[in-house]
Amino acid sequence: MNCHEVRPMFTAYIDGALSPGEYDTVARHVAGCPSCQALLAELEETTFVLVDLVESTTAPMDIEQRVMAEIQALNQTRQANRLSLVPAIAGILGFAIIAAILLSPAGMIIRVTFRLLYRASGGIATVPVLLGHWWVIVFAISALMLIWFSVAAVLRLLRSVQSEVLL
Amino acid sequence: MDQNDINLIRAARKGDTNAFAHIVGNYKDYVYRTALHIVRDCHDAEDVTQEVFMKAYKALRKLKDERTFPAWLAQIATRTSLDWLKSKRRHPTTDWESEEEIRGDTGVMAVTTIEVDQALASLSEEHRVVTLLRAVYGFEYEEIANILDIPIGTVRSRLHHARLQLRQYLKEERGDER
Repeated sequence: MNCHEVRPMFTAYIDGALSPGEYDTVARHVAGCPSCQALLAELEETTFVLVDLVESTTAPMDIEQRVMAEIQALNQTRQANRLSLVPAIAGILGFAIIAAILLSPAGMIIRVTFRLLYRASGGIATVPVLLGHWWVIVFAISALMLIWFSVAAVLRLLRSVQSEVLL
Repeated sequence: MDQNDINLIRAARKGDTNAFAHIVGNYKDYVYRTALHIVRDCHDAEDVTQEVFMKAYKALRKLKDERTFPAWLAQIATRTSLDWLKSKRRHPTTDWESEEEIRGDTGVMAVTTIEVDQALASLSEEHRVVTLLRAVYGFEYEEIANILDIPIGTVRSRLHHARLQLRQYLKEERGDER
């Protein structure tokens, strides 16, 4: 092989990236070619100073702290995002549980009770409309009667307890 | 890459942030070197380094084999640095930095080191990237081919042309001085 064919392999030769056959070819040629020996020596020196330059570069001392501070902030944000999902997940779960109960056989009783209560509340709501302004008086009389019945029941209960104690 | 690094990566994948802090400590120089020599500005390189580790932290669970971590990290570092450069070209804020601004105030450089730094800056992006992956991480040609998703022959050819250009640049610089 001549110089033109061998020289493109010089960098790989220096870097130890040639096959054993290629390595021998280059070594044999260089041994008998002073100009290639000079080029190879210059490329070796270039490689050496290049590695020297790169190794003389060091990262700033605080870069580690900066990275870790950013990671800590990221983790806090992630945690806050996770916590913000809790109410939404709880709501979905609650809705799913209620839906499951209502769709189950036991839910039939709940549905019937709910309908009854709904109808009853609807009926009560129509009373003021039917009675007009009189509903206030009816409501007051009903409340007074309820209080009177309650007081009478309490007094009667007290009397019966008193008589039991005397006996 | 030793067994300790593999254990740290495994622990970090399980959410151990202290383990990730150790990984940052072990690899920060590699990432910073890659970023600095691509973006050519020490402040930008710091931001890129930070961004690279954040990307790595977020995507660490996707890493299938812990032993491929250095190549995986180098890939993130290279792509992030190149994206940063593209973005900066689209939205330029300042003029190209002076040598002092590139290096920062981290130390005094030898004359040869400054020359090599300038020589490295004179390379095209594609030549600079392969040169850095070889010089910073010591990756084999096949690994560089996988990282950059290019044929191994292209890696070999780019590395050789880059080394020839660096040699030529240094020769001219020294020829002027002597």
